[in-house]
Amino acid sequence: MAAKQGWDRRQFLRTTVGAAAAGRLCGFTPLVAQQLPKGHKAVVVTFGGGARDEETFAPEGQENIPHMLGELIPQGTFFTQVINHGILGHYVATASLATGAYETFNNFALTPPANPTVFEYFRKDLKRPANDAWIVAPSNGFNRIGASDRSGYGPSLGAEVLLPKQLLAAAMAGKAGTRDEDYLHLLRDNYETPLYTSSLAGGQGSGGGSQDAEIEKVAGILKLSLDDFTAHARSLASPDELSVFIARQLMKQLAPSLLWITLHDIDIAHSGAYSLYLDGIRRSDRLCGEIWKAIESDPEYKGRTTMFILPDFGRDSDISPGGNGFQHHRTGDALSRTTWMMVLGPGVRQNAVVDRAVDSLDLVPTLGSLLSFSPTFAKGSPLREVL
Amino acid sequence: MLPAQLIPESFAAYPPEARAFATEHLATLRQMPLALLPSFLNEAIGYDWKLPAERAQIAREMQCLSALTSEQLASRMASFAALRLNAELESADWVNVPAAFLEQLTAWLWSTHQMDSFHAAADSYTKFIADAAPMPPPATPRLAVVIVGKGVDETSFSPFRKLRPYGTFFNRVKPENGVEMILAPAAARARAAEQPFAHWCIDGGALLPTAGLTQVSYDALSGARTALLERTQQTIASGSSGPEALRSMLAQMKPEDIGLTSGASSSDAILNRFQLSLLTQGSGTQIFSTTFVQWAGRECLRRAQPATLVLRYAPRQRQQTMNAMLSGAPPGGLDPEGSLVDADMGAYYTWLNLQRLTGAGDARFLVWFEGHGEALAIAPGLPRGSNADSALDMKGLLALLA
Repeated sequence: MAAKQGWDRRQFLRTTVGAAAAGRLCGFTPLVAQQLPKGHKAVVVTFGGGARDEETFAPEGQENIPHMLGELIPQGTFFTQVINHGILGHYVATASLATGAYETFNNFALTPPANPTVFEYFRKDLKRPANDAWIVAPSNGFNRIGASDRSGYGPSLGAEVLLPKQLLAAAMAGKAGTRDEDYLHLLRDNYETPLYTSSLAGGQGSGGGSQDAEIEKVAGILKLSLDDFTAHARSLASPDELSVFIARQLMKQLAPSLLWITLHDIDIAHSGAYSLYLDGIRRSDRLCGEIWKAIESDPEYKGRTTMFILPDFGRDSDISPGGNGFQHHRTGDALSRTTWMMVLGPGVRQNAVVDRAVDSLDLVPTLGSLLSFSPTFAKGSPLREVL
Repeated sequence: MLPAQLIPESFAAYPPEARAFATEHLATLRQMPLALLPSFLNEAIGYDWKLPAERAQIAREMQCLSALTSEQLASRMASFAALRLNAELESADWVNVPAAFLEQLTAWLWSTHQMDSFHAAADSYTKFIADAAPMPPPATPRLAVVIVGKGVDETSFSPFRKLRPYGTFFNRVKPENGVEMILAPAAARARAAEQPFAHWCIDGGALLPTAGLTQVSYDALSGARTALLERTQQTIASGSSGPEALRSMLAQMKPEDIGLTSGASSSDAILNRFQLSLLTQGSGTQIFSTTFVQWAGRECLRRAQPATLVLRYAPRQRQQTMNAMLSGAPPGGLDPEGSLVDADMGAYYTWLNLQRLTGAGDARFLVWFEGHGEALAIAPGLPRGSNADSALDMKGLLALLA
């Protein structure tokens, strides 16, 4: 089944976007003699809430991803089979992507990964400051993803984690003259469980004083007044748009070398409303295009940034008797484990397709090779096709 | 405790019929591995409120296993027995709270990378039972009718795309009195082959009174949904419970906890249990009527294996924040167009689930865009992947399925 999925994507890409190098990539030689520009950067975009081929790369789904098909794939290398062998819960799976090792903690527990994260490897080996590695994450459930509890690593070497919804909720709580209903649509939260919902009273577990200080600190870093922030937020349509807005502010103000953005709108699929799931896919497609445009239009990033786009995993197939189709990712069937990855940037072959199956865990070793750090505890292998 | 240590008193807390059933089959239950037995008990513990088809299924499964020699049974269970469990699971109260055990087991299988092995074992076991103890085919071909698109006047959406390869697409159906023309023959089927819980009508809006059909309605469950959301909100607000605790709370609820009270009739009690399960086990059924109808149709087909099923979708509320929807806030308007897309996919899933039942090759299926001329029919005598542009009313269309 997994091989079939990859084959279907490959066939579709060949016929639709004319990707030419399919099947000839295993013997790749380095494209640019490994001489990447000094100060190379990486942006990783993951979808928390996988999207299936039927709604994306299969012929009937192509209408939902015009930006990926028309703008991004022609500029990058596309891996048709990325297999996730781990636990199919969004937090634990995203943490596994970030550590390069399959984490086994309870998906719904507010716990750090057991293995060092890519951010810790990056900062420790390259002696980078805290502001050079950032995560923009969708919900409170992700607030420990920036660093592991591994001895020799840990929060002092981790990434700064921004939870835009929590930030907005807290900003709203202390702001007079605003109407809650103008912003509530941006506070939709974890769809796997209602227990991680943001609230206008602020994030979980934060005292009022420290929370205010944290907001001020973040606002100062982003050079964004709370007035500007809340005014702009009002014009946004969804939590993922808020995340991308924040990510772009980070790029403008701090230009971090390692930026990880996790989108989550697609996971509305858990509510069972197919039309809302499709809306989430279309929005994610558009936002990926916007992120790449932002990279290409920012002198700090243009020509020196590699972007990775990948869902954390898939969703159940329509025919799996133990599931309910697109709604969940519970069966562990091939479709729910098999997804794809797109890589764009300097030195990355354009309009190319890689058919061989790769592992979700290969992301961190690839980032390590790209940015010159050693992910000692990661289990995957660098993807030679993009190095 | 391990399965081999089971004694009749182990089931003392079970409802009467469930206790009798478990005690009767104790010798077989003792030989089942811990990785499988609680799944079976999770079904058996609700035996008193199971639908007739479910009771028959459980009885067939147990008869099938009981007919095996100890060696044959051990061989059949080997793939489950090979799964590595832990002491915590062994010491859990899997007899009386099998649902909680299954939560723990699931987490354990994921964390130890044994989920694929479990799925393989489960698939093999399910196939064995289906082959060795098949459910009998229905006396008359099953009929499922799905009505979608209520409230949509005009749309650019092209319905039934996933289903068209399997049936005949009609684009000139006269929509007048279509719903009544669907319900009348459904009721006639119920009268002609009267059996408890064999003929159903599930509506995403208000009840459509139709004699002889078992009826479930999203609107009629409004009070139950509100009560359930209040309980959920209380759990969230307490801040002391995690998702597992929430699921356990939902799993242990009784119909009366959310106002589903029964009369003297055992049928009422069975239906209330079914409706409770739709709201406590379905994701999104509490907030979106389209999700409710799709899930209810799935569960009806899986559990009741009905001869007749009519599903009618209604517009769901527009998306709001989860906080707002879970708190039962007033809908911020309806979304008929989005609901049509939801229902279109739901109709496809209903057909897929119909195909999983005995007699699938002879089943009849119809989906109609309410108030419009588009419909699609699947039946043994109708060509697949074809279009029919002849004008006919719903009665005429249903006649083609007879």
